[in-house]
Amino acid sequence: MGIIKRVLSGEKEAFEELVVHNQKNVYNLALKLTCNEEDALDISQEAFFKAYTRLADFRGESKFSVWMYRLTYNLCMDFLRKKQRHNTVSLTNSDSCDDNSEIEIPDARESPEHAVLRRETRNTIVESINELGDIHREILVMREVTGMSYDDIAATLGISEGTVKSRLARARKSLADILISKGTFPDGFRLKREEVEEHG
Amino acid sequence: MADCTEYLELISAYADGELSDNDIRRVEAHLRICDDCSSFLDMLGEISGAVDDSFAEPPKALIDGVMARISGSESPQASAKLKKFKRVNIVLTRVLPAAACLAFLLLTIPRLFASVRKSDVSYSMNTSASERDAIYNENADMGDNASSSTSSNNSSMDADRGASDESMASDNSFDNDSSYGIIDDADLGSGNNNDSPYDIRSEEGPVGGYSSSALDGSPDAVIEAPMLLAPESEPQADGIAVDGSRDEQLISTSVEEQIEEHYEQDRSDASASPSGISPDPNDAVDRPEPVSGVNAEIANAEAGGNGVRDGIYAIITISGDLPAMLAESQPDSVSDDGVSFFELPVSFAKSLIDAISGTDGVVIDIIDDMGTRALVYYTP
Repeated sequence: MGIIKRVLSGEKEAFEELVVHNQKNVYNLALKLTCNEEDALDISQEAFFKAYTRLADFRGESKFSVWMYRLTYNLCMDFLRKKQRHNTVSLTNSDSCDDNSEIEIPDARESPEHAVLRRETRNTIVESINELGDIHREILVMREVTGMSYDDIAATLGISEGTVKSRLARARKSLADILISKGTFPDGFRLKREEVEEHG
Repeated sequence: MADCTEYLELISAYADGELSDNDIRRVEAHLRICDDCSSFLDMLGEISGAVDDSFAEPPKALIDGVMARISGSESPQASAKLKKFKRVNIVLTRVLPAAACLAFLLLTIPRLFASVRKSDVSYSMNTSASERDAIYNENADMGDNASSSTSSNNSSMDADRGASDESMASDNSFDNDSSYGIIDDADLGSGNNNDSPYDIRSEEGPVGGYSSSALDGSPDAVIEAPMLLAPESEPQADGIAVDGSRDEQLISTSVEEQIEEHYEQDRSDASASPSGISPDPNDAVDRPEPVSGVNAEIANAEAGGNGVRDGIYAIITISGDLPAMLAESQPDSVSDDGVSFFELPVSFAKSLIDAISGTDGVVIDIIDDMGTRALVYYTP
């Protein structure tokens, strides 16, 4: 609570520590939801600025990070709603979501062939997440990117904890079905098991 | 194999470390004997790993931009004061005048009709009150539909509300439906190998499931307060407009003195002042509970309180045609002067605003873009 008290007492520079600690998850949450780097940057900045101006409302009864995720999520939803209204496109329909060029799997122990296969598998997984329906994609990204608890996700989405549990399971099952239909998972499993045998 | 249906949800929660000890033991016992569910757990590990690997580094412009904006802005305390100022101002400049005009019209129009009735309809001054009402209603039905349309709208709202609730209930049942179908080899692949790093069929397997650092709560958490995120514990972050410029339009200098008086009283009562409603996360999907009445906000302001309650996203005043979206809702209350009052979850309110923004007779005042509720005053 020390940092927040310092900011509230007028020490604006202290807020930078909060940004440093939370910017990666906030940015990636926005990036996964908007599928656009520029939009993710704008929304992340807006979220932090909102957090700063509303900091007096934050009473420290939840983690600041969770509060930030909520801010970010709501900004993303507002943004996507406006975008959808203007462009009449799906919330998930964005080419940049299919660009997984940033995915790198640096692991010196892996052979180059395995590294390539593993990267392909993981690229396919990330692509397939974007093929999920909006509701499933949203909750899966929220959980996987931020690591928010079911309780926090429930509060953020305005649903019950039981619904979070069932919706996440359903989202994962849908994703598994997509990956199996693409032939990704059986290959991925065989690859992984071969690696385990080789390295184990 | 049919048992795997119920384990699917448990395994998902197991992977997230969200199970009780009893359920953990139950899942682990099942995983030791079920290759398909073990494969599903392996998949979840792969998915988490893929998401972790796809994490992008935030650009330097993020922190630079945030700090630049902050350095040129008001302090959080000043922002909080400005927010209160806006709330009081909105009541004084928008809601009160609108209510006053409405009251004037509603008081005047019946008298006009009464004078018409006296010349057009002859009835004895000795006529009983009920007879007079009957005559009046008959005339009103022919000439003025204001009151009758309200009641008929209410009837249709009742019917539509039922349908709306039913559809929401069915949506929830969809989400809570655990019937994913039987997991067989075709669904989950043939993974029968026991060497998976996530495999817990051996006794030394991980308890509580795998979790990457990103999944173990919030690694970046700065505030280590207990996870008590009760719905009312923090102001909800709903409804934040990316462009907050609309707020600024609401500031008026014409009533500064009145506002300052409110402020003085507000400051003196600050410690004892209740914050109003508590945001409820279920509000996003449930219909709002009825509130005290149509003029609750106005009365609050007149009493020298904080003006609009905390957590109010917007006040929407509508006159004329009832928007189609509201026709599916039942008003929380209808005042004696015929104004229907709705208190809406912010998500619904935003859709409504999208639908009616720019329409004649519609005034939308964004009060607090972090609010979770919206108030609608509808005058037929």
